[in-house]
Amino acid sequence: MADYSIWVLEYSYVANYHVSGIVYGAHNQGYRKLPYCYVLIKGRGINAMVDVGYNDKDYGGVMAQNFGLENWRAPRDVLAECGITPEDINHVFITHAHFDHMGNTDAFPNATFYIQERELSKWVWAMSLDRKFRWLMLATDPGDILRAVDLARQGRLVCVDGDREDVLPGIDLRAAFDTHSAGSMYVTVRNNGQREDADSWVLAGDLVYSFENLRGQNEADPQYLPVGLASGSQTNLLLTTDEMVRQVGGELRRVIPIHEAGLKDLFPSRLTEHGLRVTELVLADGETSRVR
Amino acid sequence: MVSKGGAFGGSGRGPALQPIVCETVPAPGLPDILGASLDERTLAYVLAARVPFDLLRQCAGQLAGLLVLSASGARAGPDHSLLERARSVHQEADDALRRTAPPEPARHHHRHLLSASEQLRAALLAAARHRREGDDATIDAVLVPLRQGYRELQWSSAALPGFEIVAFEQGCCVSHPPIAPTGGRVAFRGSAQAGRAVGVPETGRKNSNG
Repeated sequence: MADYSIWVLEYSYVANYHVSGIVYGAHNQGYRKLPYCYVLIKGRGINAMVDVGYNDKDYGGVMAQNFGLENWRAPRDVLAECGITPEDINHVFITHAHFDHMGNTDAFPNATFYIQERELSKWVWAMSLDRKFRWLMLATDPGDILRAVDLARQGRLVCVDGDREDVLPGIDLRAAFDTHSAGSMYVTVRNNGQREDADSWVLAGDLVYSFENLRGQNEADPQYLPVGLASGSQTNLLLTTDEMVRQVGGELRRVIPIHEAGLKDLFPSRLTEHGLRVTELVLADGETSRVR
Repeated sequence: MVSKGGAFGGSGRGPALQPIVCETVPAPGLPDILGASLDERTLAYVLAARVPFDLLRQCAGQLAGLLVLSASGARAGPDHSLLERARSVHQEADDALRRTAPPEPARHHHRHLLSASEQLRAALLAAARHRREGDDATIDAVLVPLRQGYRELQWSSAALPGFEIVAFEQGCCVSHPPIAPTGGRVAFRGSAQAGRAVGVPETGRKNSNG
């Protein structure tokens, strides 16, 4: 019995992304497609998302012209592939405050947003440092934080302090501090609602970009490999990777890297008329497939 | 000029500025400083103005961050030292801007930056009051000029190349264009101008950070 359906929804992509950004140290290993996705979790009257993508209105042109992002589609178009509208979304889990995960909060007028308090407070701290430390502010948009102020005033922003089990029934938020960012978190969906659940899924945000981060580049002798960028500790990142893998009983395919172009090889999926991919991880009982 | 009240004037730092209202951003795409054909004086202005622009963006971000922590009831509420740091950053930016004499092609850009600075000054004053009084009503007094200041920064970002609101070039998930080796000289790719290099060491070897 599965409580939730989970889809990974592509909303944009970089056609040629350097592999060294995906796997730390993988220099001169060429380029591959990097999908930009968010996750839809649906079931038990809940329509939740993990992250919301970037703000195309403010800098979509920059992204397209200078940084290789292509084919951005609005959440309305993307969610429609699963029969959902942005207004239907009632909960959003923001894994971290980078522009491509927190940039589009405006699009979801009825959602409550969850973010680690540490992600915000450490960002404020980083900005108080001398200009020489400005690298610590990379990929964050003050505009996203301004929008978060509005959310807070509306009572729609929940600052989470560490782990929170059952933030929604069977859905846990897990802190991953000082990894990809200061206050990152990941989302665990225990699809049978049990504490020790064989049908668990981990939605990893940017803690992993690819299954290679989970098993290395030699499957005969697996190892964890960090992603190409972290403002925190790569050691912490690997320890968190191990934690995520253990949460799913070692079944690597259940730790979901939303930037992984190879999800389609493991899960049923389809390309939409817009050339973006809908990947179906699991269906709740009675839910209609969106890919078959 | 007579100040319009609210956002401008009363600073005692020269004539108050008329608000500049431009078309809503975004521009179709930021001009690429590496490929833009800027005259020498405008290029010099861009190089000089990037630091105060970054400082103003930093100040705006600090204020927004302090506000969101306060408004969300987070344990890490507004801290006096952080607000002081935002004020100090703003002062540094403002001083630099007022020392900068823009050439004609950059005057529109410079006015946006000056307007942004004035708005952020108003936001900082309101933030100090909010910190003392601690009630939600004073958050609006910070938010209004802060939003306008941020908007001015966005408009400046669209007015000339080289001013990015978000440091995408350091971003984790974007495709970075390659930078050509320069054989020992520091230079912008594709530009006849010598200037501040991006990631090219003096040996001329390409930076090896992927």
